[in-house]
Amino acid sequence: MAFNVLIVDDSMAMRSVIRKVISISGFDVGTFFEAGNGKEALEVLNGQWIDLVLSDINMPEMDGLTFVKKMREHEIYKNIPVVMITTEGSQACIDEAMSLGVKGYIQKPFMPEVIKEKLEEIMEKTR
Amino acid sequence: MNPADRNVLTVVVQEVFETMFFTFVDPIGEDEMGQVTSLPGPYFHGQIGVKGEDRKRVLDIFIPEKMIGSLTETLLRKEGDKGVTKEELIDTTKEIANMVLGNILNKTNKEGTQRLTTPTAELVGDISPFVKDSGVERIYFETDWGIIVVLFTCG
Repeated sequence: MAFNVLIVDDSMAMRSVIRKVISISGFDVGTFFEAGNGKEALEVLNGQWIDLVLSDINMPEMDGLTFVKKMREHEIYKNIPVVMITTEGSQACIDEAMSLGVKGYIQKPFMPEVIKEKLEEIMEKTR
Repeated sequence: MNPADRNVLTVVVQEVFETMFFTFVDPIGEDEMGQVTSLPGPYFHGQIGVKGEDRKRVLDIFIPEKMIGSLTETLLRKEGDKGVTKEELIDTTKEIANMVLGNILNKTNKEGTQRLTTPTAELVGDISPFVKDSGVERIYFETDWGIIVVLFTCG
């Protein structure tokens, strides 16, 4: 069954790269949705059915960790799998993300295979 | 800049360009940097800093305009008459600055609690006077499109 993906990153180039990596990896994606920050992402979640979120951390208006915190407080969105894709690599940041229950933490720059492998792992667990 | 820090900065810049853009950039030795007397541009100038710590750390990166154009086309897979916009070029520059400084911090202070500021970018012309008089540490990289200049302020 096709799944809908929300990509959250203030860089449109990075959103494009992530979208293409997922597309060429053979995943059955229904629709890609995009947002430039956490605030916009919450608006997308409010109007669309989303199965997977890939989010940056360092973004204007609302950063990725605040966005995930707000997701976890929401009855409908709290169980959506989230993977962080970010340059932020301090242990404090990773620990905070993990405490919010994210399913993966990928650091930029990344090899396309890293995203593919992480998504395969998530899809396998959700089957 | 001590040799270890210089090495980290050099490796990180190379990793970012090789991993994300499949592009090789060659560091120019300190001895040879003096031979670079002109950096006429145009350049895209990206800047980003570190927040959450007492000292000031800022990274400035200057990338030839034609190189940013080519890298952005690679990222967005635009070819032929589908040219990239200035907004897209600025976006790519900001993301490169973000990845370079983020990875420097990851390699030098992983246990820290520091975070990155929001990057900025702009198109500039001749950077020769600015780079020459900056008084901060710098590294040059040779590329097919010209010279990349990286300045690192650590106060």
